[in-house]
Amino acid sequence: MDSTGLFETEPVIEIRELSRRFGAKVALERVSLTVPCGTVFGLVGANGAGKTTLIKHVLGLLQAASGVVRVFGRDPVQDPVGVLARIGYLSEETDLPGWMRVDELLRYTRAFYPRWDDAYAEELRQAFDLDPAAKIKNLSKGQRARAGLLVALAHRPELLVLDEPSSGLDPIVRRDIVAAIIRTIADEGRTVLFSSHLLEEVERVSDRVAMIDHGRIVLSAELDDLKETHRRLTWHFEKALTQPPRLPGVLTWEGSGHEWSALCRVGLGELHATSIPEGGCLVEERVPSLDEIFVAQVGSKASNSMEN
Amino acid sequence: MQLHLSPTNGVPIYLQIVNQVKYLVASGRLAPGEELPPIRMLAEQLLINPNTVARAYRELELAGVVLKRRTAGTYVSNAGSPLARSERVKILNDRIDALLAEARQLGFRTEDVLHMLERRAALLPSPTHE
Amino acid sequence: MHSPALALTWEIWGANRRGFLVLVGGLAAAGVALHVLARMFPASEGLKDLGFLPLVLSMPLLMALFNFTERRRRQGFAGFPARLFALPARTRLLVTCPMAWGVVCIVAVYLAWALLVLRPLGVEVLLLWPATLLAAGMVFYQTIVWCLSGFRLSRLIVLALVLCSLVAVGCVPSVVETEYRRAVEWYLTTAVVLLALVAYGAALIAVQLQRRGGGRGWQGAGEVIEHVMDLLPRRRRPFTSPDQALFWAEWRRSGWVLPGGVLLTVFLIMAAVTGFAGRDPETTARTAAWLVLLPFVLAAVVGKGFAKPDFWSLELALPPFWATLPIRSAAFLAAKLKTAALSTAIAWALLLVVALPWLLLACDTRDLRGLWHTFTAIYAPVAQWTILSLLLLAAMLLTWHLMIVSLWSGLYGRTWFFVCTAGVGSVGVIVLLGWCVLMVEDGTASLVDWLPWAPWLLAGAFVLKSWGALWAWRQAYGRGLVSGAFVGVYLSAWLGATGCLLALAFCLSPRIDWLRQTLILVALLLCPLARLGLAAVNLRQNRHR
Repeated sequence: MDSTGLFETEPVIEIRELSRRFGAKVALERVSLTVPCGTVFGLVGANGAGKTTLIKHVLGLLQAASGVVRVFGRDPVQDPVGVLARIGYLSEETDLPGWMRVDELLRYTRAFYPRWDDAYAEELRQAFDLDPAAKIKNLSKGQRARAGLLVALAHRPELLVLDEPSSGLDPIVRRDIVAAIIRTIADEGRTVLFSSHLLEEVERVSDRVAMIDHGRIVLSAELDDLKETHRRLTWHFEKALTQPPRLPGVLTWEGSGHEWSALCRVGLGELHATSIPEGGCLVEERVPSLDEIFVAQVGSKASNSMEN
Repeated sequence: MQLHLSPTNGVPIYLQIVNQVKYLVASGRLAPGEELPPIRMLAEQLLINPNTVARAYRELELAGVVLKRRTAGTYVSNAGSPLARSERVKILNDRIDALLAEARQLGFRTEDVLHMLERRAALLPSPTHE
Repeated sequence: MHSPALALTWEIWGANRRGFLVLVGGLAAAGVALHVLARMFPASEGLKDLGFLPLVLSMPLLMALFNFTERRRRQGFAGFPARLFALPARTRLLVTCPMAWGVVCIVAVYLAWALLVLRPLGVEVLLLWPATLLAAGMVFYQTIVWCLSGFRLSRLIVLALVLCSLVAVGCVPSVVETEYRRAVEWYLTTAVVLLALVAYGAALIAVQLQRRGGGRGWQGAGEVIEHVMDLLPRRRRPFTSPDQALFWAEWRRSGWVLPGGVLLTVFLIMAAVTGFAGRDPETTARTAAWLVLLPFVLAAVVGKGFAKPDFWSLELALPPFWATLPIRSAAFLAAKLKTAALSTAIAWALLLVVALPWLLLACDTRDLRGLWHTFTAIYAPVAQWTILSLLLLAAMLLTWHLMIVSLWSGLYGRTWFFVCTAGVGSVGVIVLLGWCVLMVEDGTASLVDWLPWAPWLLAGAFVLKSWGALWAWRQAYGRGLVSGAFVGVYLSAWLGATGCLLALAFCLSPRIDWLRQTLILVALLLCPLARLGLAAVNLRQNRHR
């Protein structure tokens, strides 16, 4: 058992069959997720897919209407003090109280977290170049994000939850945020859950990735496994085709005329041998980026539903 | 140690690191016995997950390119020329394949390419053999 | 939609559909009710006075509906909606449309009410003069809201001043002698219309300035105020506990509003009385009465704002910054209660320190001294001082009650709930008032019939209150929202406060049985018990939706 009080194998976040509707709109549908200790978990989805709703359930801001949410083994709604003291949270709408100054904000937040590290907070403040006497409402958007990040990190949380932290921010602040994620995860036993639709960022930093689409988890796997099981294959055909050939396991086709490219799910080498389309020869095979996989996955669901 | 990563070109990041370290060792920019940066430092420098760096180091250790000394860091192995040589041969083979493919595209035959190689080599200053 | 004016009209309607429907529906219902009551009590005078009440209440609603500004809930209102500036419409059109519709609506509401309800009730009302005043009032309101878009506080103050002076001007023709009345009305109407036109011009200029990116130079005054506030001593010591931090944040945001408001109004009243009304005994007595009522009135108003998680924003939902702090829900509530208590204490202290010497030294207190003699004649000296201190305590408790009474509905976090409970509460109070007025009018006989029932009703209310309190606190404690310490502290405070009120009731104790019982039961009902437990439960619902 480590200092977090959990066995190393016990997951930090456990969500089982979580469903939620807002009126007639289904926000989450039977979502099940497990975030193991010591990983960076990336949550990926389009706008309005349900990422923020899921994260709010983890923090206890939303009650689970049906299903179970456990953070550090406890229900965040029943025990907010115990759970939230170990979580640092940053969201895209930084709603820090605008009337406070930066030093007042630090002093204020310090009172709530027993594990606040003054020296670390000061080091971060200087690294982020935040003027202690500046009022938060007068800070730029990027500086406000940095202030929020500072407040989330300074008490060395065991779980760092970031909800689309980089949206609308300039590249320098985005680097700061990614650096913060890495510094957190580099310490033993600390976990990061973050949602983003900047897939390049997710690809750099995550250990595990889950894709959410219209409230349902479409894909949840280790990033390495994901990369290994998807390929982008390009074929050159002698005869120009107007329609792509039908092949199992293909998520989406691209191309025209003589060259067609497919993004497919590969199961340990089976695709190459059995499903070479007629009259075509393989010219290129490469590992697709997370961006391509995501677009293909989400797109394929849409096209499947259209066909049905 | 300068590494350049491109996350969007599809090659897994750990593999990019492995390839680049192998290239650096083969080309002599990393001397045998030189220490590689610690996992955490490299992760923070490149802004990637430390687990990815750890995996890359593991792969390099398995391939024999680096040696992991317990609590003392990771060092480029003193493995002799055979491995380094095979790396060097592989790099050159890749270039030769690309050259031949392009020559064929442009309509040259292999003998023309050999003639051109000799002519260009004559223009180079004579290299000192290592 | 082919005309910009039509499009703007549709926007004004569409953004506030519910409000308009509530307005029209409410007025229609009130009108019908009044007609029915007039049929039942034909000779009642109070009914005629009551007829003005719905009209007066609909005015703030109309002002809220025609508040044509950017809707940024977190920071309160801002100036003219900036997105309209990007449209190919002249500023003249953008400004005139909402203003014209506002004027039309307010005049229509007044005329409809006057012709359909008040005239049939037998009340003699003028049509032109009040309509002009109301139209001018709407124009001034919108001008001020657009011009002073950066200054929320000064905007409120200026608005209050302007509207009060309009009301004062409105009363002028009625106090003037009949022969001059027509002429005075004529002059005043022309003056008010001219002023309204000037305000319209000012609004045009201000919005045009805002459109060109200006209007920000006026922020200079706001910055000066901020510099001044920055010079005030700021807390530098770290907080020793989360409760202290919460209290500090709440105090900085809303604690100073009540004392500040009381101080400002006291100065205004003192200035007005000294300058205009003179210091004769009757005026002094009336001023003293108003001064005593002042904290209650202000607390009732401030209390509505206090019920929101953040005083200065319109957002009722608990912002995630506070919802994710590792605190129990009740800690937030406790900070609000403590702030309200300190606010009240300081407000009353300021009132006594500032107003009392002024009254005693600078005014003619003959009437008041007469009252004092009667008082000392009835009660023994010991009882006098006990009664006075207990009265002060009771006044502070009542003010505190008014501050926190809306917490249970405001902290629930749903706008419709807050508005509904406020509406139901106000309607209940109005109905009660109206019923009392009618009873009094009808003849004292029936009132005396009802009076012995009062203790029974109050006792029933007390049973309901205790039951509700038990249920609410058990819920709150059961879910871990409140700690044992919180419950203990609050219960002892409640017992102490109610004990003092009971002591007051006993001291004042008249010989009449039912009156004494009524006073005792009122003392038991005064301090909020059930509503605080409910507030904790509702805050949990706000925090975890």
